[in-house]
Amino acid sequence: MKVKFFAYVRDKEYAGCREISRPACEDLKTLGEELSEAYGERFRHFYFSPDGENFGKELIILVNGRRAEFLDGIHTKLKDSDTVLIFPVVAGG
Amino acid sequence: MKNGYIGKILRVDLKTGSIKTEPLNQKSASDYVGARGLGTKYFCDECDPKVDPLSPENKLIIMTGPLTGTAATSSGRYNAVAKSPLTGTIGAANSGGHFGPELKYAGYDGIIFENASEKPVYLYINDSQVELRDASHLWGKDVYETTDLLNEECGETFRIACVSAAAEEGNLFAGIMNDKHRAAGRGGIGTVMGSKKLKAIAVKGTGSVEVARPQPFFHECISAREKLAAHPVTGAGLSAYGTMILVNIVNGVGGLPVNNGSAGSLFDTADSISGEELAAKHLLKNKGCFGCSIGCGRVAEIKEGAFKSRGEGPEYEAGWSFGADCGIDDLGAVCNANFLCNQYGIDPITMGATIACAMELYEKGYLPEEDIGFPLRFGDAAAMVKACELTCKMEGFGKILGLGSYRMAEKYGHPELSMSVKKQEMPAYDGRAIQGIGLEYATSNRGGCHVRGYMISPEVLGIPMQMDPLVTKDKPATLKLFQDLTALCDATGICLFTTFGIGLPEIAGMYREAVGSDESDAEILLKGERIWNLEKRFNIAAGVEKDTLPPRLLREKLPNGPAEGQVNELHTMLAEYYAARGWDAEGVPTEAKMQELGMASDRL
Ligand code: SF4
Repeated sequence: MKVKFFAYVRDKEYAGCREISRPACEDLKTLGEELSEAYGERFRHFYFSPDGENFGKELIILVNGRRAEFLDGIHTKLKDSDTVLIFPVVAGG
Repeated sequence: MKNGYIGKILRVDLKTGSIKTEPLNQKSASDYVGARGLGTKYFCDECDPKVDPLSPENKLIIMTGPLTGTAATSSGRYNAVAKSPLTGTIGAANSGGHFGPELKYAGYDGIIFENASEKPVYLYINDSQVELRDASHLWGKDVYETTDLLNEECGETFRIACVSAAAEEGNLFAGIMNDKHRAAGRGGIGTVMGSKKLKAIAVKGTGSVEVARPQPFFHECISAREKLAAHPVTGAGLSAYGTMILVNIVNGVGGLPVNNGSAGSLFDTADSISGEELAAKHLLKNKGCFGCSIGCGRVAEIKEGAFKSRGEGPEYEAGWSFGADCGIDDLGAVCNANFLCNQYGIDPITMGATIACAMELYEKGYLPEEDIGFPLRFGDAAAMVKACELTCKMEGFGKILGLGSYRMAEKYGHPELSMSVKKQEMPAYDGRAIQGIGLEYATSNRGGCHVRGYMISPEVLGIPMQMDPLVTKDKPATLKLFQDLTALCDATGICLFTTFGIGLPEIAGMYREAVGSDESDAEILLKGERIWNLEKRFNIAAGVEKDTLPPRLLREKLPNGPAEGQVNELHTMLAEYYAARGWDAEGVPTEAKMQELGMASDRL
């Protein structure tokens, strides 16, 4: 499974890289927990809502190009062939 | 006046040289607010919709809004209004910087230019001293040279809006450039100015703008600014990465058109033309417009190599048009082409998309190499920059590219390969992967355009709510609301980017206190709807073609990405959209709607 990071999530205070390849984990919640474990509290606060049960409000997360909200939310299942994209809320035009 | 307006309009007859001031039409100002709305109202009252856009009879109106130049956030905006030579629709182009506020400080809400001059001239405005001056020595000069020469001539503190040689030579998508780098960019509004032999406007003012209820107004402004500062996008994201930050996310949802849209909308190397890459490698500093805390502008430099150059931008749209749309992932080439467009004052969206269209025509064998003078393949960065430069200078094949993609593709027998609506190129989002933006392109009153109702906000970014880009449900009604709110925002004179962080309550709040009105939010929003309907009525009277999309979006299924297999479902959305607008099945505003908006007795 590929996980790609964008904008400030690439900074060292967060993921500190553009992309990682890793074995799939069960779902987006597990992924968030494992990444927070690796990257620290700042990342956890970004990824999760304060109660840890949902996404943080500044997170945009896509699985194979679809926003998790249109899949199964934080319980979206993952497999090895998936690509997960992680953005902060961004805009432009 | 003490209501956000100055209360005076300059009327300049370029043929006779007469310059008059007249009182602002307060009824029109109240109904149509300002800038885009009020400029359009004046235009529709005074101009025949059938006018040839490049004839002296087309008027050019520069108009500010009641919030322009006040303490309201990001209030550096003005609009330039004329009939567009590219689309034949009403053309209103919006620009920031400092020019708009300066015009108000000089004592005018707007300027109406009539007829055409025989010799090149520029308008000199130093408070009440207003003169048409000879501009023969500026004719043929680019935007930077013209601005520098006028600043030498008039004084450093003058704000300059001008056109370049491309506009003079009839490039159909030339803009008016102010403060060197800010553009009233789309639809060839600068071409109209060039056709009038009006090279520039130089303005300096020492006055100020007074509002009706200063204390409450100030309070509204502070509160809006606080909301913008607290929002992750308007508080931090836009200033850190600029608008190019969108490249990766739009590509992420499979909505970034590649190779003129012929190769789908998923660009493998999108990251190399992204906002992250620009910030990491080429960004010198940020730059903001008048009174703006967001500061989305970029000053960037390509330090070495074939594309060594320096300038402002690129914005996301140009990043795409010269990048993915031409199959190019060289950010240096993208920046170089964008800087050329600024220097020569042409619209980079139409420019890049027209080159992409030429590349497809060439690769398919419809456009002979002899006509271009060199091979023009997707992915060839040097050829792309060369094509751009030729168009900026209106030399060789650049004269054909300067017609825009529709007229060029038509000339070569394949207008269906022009990715345009009403002859204006669609910007950087594929309407097959993002349904609502397709409806926006089809219905925009100035042809293919994203900034009339920015559906990317809910469909991709989740602001202010989240909508699935792949479905059509609820898109028509949402788009109508966005279009009306955008028209209102543009008309007040503040920047549309503020609407990522604030909405109707804040905009209406600032407007109310500035003009001294007690209208409700809904009544104020209705002014936006009125503007939209006036624009539409103008277009119908002008005989503009019906609302549709290029056949590629309606029939060619996306070959890849998350939206694979999709086309734009325009037919299901359009009827619902017309119903939401209170228009008939043909998209004509009904009598009942005109009554509701108080427009029944208007000329148009
Ligand atoms: S957000 Fe950007 S374009 Fe808008 S006023 Fe501010 S700096 Fe100018």
